[in-house]
Amino acid sequence: MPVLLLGVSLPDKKLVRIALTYFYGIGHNTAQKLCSKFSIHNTCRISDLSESQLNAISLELNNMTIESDLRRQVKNNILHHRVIGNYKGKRHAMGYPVRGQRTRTNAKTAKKLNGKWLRNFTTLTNPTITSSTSLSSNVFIKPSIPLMTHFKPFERFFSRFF
Amino acid sequence: MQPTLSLLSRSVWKGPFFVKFPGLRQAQANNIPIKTQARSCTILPTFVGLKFLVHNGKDYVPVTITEEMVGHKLGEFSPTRKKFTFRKTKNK
Repeated sequence: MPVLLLGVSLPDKKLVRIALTYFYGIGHNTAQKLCSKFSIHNTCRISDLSESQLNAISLELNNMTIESDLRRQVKNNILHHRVIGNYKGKRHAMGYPVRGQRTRTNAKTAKKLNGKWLRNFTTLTNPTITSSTSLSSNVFIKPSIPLMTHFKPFERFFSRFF
Repeated sequence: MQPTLSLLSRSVWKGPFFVKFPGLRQAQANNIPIKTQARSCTILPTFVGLKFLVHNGKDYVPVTITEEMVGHKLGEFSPTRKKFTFRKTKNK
């Protein structure tokens, strides 16, 4: 019987430190840290966990940004670049590498992954001219995608420098 | 935000890098675009609403600053490369 934790089913036979990586946003490093926090030994399997240990883990996971929260965060960060229409946003929209890697060959990962967050997002007709008025008319955003309402560029800027 | 952004970024004591534009006040009042080649200039909160003509190596690209652009550089909004399009004959 697989154990359900926050909507993710963890196979019974897996080691705890491996099974935790089934969550989006938890790699081997974080999983190992979680295990040591709850003093779960390295060869412990999901089936060996007690009820209280599972509860403690799920409580800890609740407070972390993982799964859909993290996906939304990533999407919002990319959408931010796309909305303001800078170089990064354009590279994302074109499905090319963003950080100056070569595109003559390779760039396989970028072609596979970049732009997948922007699929429901029509490109700007003229991305070079970006003003708030032209944006609202040209850009169609599905209502399911939350815009950068939480994003406060002023605050971030001031908190950094002043 | 990514942790590297705060780790691998400019020292705080230096403040943001920016260039002084002499006609900033006038441009704000009269809505005149500021022609500039300073692509590395950080967009400050005072720039919001201003129009810039940012050099991309060949010509000047019009950029209108919005609130969300604060903290980015001017050059990010003025692409330096053309997208490749195939042409059959050279002399066209």
